[in-house]
Amino acid sequence: MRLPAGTEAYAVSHLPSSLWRWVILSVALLQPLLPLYWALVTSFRKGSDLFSTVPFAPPSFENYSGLLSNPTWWHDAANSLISASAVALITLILAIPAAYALGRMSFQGRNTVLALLLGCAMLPQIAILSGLFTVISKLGLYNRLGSLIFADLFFALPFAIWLLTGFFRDLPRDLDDAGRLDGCGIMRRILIIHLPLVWPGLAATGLLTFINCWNEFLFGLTFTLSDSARTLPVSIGLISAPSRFELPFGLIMAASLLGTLPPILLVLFFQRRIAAGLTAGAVK
Amino acid sequence: MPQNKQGREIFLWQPWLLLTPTLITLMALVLIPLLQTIRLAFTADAHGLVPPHAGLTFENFHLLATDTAWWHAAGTTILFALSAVVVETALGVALALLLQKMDIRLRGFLLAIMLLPWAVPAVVAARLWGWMLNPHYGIINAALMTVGFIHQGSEWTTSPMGMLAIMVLVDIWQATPFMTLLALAGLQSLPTDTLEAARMDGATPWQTFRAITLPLLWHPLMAAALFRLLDALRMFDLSSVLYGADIHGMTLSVFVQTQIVQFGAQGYGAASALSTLAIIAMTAVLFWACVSRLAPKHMP
Repeated sequence: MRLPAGTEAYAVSHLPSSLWRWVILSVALLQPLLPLYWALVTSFRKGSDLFSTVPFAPPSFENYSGLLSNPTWWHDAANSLISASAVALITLILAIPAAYALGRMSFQGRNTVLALLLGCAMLPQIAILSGLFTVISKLGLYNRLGSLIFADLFFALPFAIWLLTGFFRDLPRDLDDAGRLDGCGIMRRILIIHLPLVWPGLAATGLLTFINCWNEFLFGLTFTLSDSARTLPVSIGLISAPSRFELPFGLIMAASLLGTLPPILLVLFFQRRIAAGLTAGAVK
Repeated sequence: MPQNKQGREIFLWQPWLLLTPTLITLMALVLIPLLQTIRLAFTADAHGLVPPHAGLTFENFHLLATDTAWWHAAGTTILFALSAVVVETALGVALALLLQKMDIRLRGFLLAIMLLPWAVPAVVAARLWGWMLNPHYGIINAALMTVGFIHQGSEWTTSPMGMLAIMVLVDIWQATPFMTLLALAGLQSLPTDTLEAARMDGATPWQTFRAITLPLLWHPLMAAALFRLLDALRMFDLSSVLYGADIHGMTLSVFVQTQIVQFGAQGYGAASALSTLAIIAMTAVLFWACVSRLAPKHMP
């Protein structure tokens, strides 16, 4: 619910008198940006320039050109992209029918299923780690991208169903009755009537799942052994140097920023959808 | 429940058919691994500290009870999660109160910027802050020295408390946007007429907040805080990237993962995973009990 228009006009007309509010807001605005800016500055520095604290300096592109000409980096990026997209897609395919059943049909056991899903969503990853290790080895997926896609469904699927159930529930009840009277089967009802209407919910769910999987570290670290199935967060987390004082910070920051670009762009372009999804996930 | 003409309940197969793919996936992904974890927890490790023997054993749990690293990790995790969540909730409400008064377009712009740290992978956040807090070349030491707060670079990560504080700081940086969003959603669903009435009666903003906004906001806000707490209690990325397997900065998730992957101690790892679940559940229940007791009364 928004404030009535008059309230906003009132707030805007009194802005100069509330200087402190703008001070706090500029801090709130600078605290996300300054660390990211410092990462950007560092990523363009090499050698002894790294230890300079001057906020501006002529950039050196060596870190980026080194990364972008390294096939391993591209391999990691492709792994991240493929696994995050695959998880988002599989999650939506599995979650749509389930969320339809939970959001729009009343049947015995519905609340039990919802409670179990919430329980799954709250379960920490390490609770299933040793068991999942065995399952993944049995399936022959260890050290393959498939292991990661499979494992990520653990947190993606319950969350997506929970979120989408809320979106389905909010649609008017008449839709189903009208569709049924017209002799429309359940699959067609979902595909033709409901999906176009829950489109914003699908977008929010897909975006959040993609970002969560892109950023995932624990499973990626556990189920991959070699470069072949490694994702970007894992390789960024594992960059190290012979000595503790020789960490290649410029390179780390360049890799970090490139690896952060997709989620950051998604937030900047789809801020409203993502915010709506995050809120709905916790409130509904 | 739908009934047929005789008044007997009909079993509805359609919803279950729609749920089948999900239920099968979750069975393979949650139920089987969880049962396997429970079985492993009561089994001795073939290469572990306990001499292997057939049948069930409590040996893993006995060992865990005397493992100082484990108890240290439990303390770190609980302290980390509670302090991070308290600060994030308070900051989230404060920022939401400010954002609520903003013009809607400005608010959208501010939210997009403020959401950025949330979107950054935790691994990257750990790397970034680790670099900024570097005792020799970090920008934060340099800035503090320039301003004159300190005279020589501070070694932030030498004491266990410092290590914990840095994890809390990075988590606050990343998770406050989430709490701000939820607090804002809560604020926007409050009845405007009640707030307007309070303002007309001459209540100061602080009085309005204490007597109306906070009591009405309390329940959804604390539900969100509980959600966040459960998330913080399983934190892995920050601790692992910042401190590796250093016992002083280790959280429970790192402890369990290290046991399973680095030491290959499946049984011990599984036992520590189950004990972690118990600690998370206990912390969450205690948190909820405290929160319910602290709930502010709605003043007439």
